[in-house]
Amino acid sequence: MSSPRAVILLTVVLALSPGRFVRAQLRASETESLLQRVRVLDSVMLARGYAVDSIRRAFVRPVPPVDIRQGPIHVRTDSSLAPQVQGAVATVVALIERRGGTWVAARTSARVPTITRDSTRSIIGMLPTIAINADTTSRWSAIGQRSVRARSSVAELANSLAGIVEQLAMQGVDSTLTAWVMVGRAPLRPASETEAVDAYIEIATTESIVLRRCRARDVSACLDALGIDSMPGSRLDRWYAPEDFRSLLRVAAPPREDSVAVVAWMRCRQVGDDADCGVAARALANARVPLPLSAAVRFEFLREVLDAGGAGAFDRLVTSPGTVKDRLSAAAREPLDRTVLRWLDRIEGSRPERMRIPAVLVAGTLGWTGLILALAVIRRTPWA
Amino acid sequence: MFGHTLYLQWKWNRDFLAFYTLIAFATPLLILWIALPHVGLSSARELVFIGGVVGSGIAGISVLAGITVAWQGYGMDERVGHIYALSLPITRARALAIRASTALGLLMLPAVGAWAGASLAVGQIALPTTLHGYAGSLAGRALLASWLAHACVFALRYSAGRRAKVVLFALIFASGSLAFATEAVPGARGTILRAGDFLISNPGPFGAFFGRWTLIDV
Repeated sequence: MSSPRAVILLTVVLALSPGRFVRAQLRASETESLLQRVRVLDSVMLARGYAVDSIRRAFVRPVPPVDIRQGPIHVRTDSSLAPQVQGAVATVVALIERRGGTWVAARTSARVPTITRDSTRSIIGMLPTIAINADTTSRWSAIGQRSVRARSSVAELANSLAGIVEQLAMQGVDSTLTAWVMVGRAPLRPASETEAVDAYIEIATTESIVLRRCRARDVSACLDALGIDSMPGSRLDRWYAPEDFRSLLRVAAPPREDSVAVVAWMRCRQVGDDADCGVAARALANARVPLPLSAAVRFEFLREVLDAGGAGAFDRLVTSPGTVKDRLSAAAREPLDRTVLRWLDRIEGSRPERMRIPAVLVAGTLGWTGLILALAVIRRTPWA
Repeated sequence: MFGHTLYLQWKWNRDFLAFYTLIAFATPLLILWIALPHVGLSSARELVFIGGVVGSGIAGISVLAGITVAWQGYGMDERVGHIYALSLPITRARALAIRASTALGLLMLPAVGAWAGASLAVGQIALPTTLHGYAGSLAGRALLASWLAHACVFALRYSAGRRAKVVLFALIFASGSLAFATEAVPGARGTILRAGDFLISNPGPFGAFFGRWTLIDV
């Protein structure tokens, strides 16, 4: 091999060698790039998977295995809760039959409530509960989840389930009746002990001319206060006399654009001048004049109507044509005046005697006082 | 013996009793005097609220009066290093029983003060027809509460002696722990709540302290 040939060969070898190294480097970088790409796609897929799972959970929750069907109610629950849930369902079915009617039964049968074990945050850690959902899906969120303690009795469970049925009963009811009822549920459960007492206290402590007239057995005033049948005139004139303005203006304020009324409102609250109270009250827009009776009292009256009507009362209330007054009369199957007076009598008879000292309290306190003193007196130990 | 003990109790406690009686008399008048210009005479809801404030004030005064009389009686014994009645030929149990009963008698004074002040206060305002004044009931509750408070502190002082403060703190700590346990131990929650409900409801041991305390109500 001559020297020029060797030089050429060496040159070719040297020329080719770097290219091979570069190609090798290029291949390695391509592999890394692909791996990186795969990792990116993996992470994207994972993130999207989480999103899909989250959306799936938002739409459909796992359906509990035990299926309980009784009357119009169809409930899914866990096996550990099944005995309690059966008892609760039986109670609610009886309630629907007694006070609900076909409307409530139809609305209830369209949903499958779930009753499952759950937990909720408390001050210290998590507190076990029983969660009651209105349906197996959570898309329909008009009725919120109800929770009771994990060791609730059948009665407590039935009470919560009945609360959901009460809300279901108002689904599909026309807007006029829904607006009058205000609370978004029908009074299917029997009244609690405190409801009539609370109604009495509200009526007795609310300064309103229409309520005073109602208590004087003026039925038209009662109907007006309950929002059933309006009398002519503005709300302020119908519901509040000048002597009621001061207390009225504790819960309502004139529009802030009306500076004269705002100044009068402040003076009315601070000084109590009747002229200022009148100016501020007259500045209230008709729609902003507070109702003399709360939704709770109205709900109490609706219960009176349904009690008067007996079986099928709620069906008649929902399906009857006409004004709210006509529909309440149809539900009660009697002139509404009679229902109003009976309701009024019941409320008046519910006056609580909260400050009466019962004999049991006197005897109990004296007994405990005597017992505590006796234990101290007969103790046979040194003085200190 | 009873008269002598009553005199001694009066001598030891007359300043406190005068103070509590005066305060119990003045509280309804002062609260109404301060509050009425702000709420007006016809505001039923506010009058019920003010009545509740008066009731709470009277409740606090009556409990404090009971506690003070019991604490003061033992304090006198502790100060002189012996119980006065031991110098007399009667048993310890009888001496304590007489002392407790005389204290209960003296505690009627703040209740009478509360009744007089509350009656006067209610008489000053024209209540709406839907509201009523409950001066007598309020004074009756005040008397029962002061007796019960006195009995509790009397028992604590004469049973625990110098360890009374330790026992008191232990009781407070135990009550706090039970309240804590209602959250920390859900299984015990129902039992604790039932026990608590028994203690503070009528006719439970402390039912007199709770319940409705108000001067004006429906």
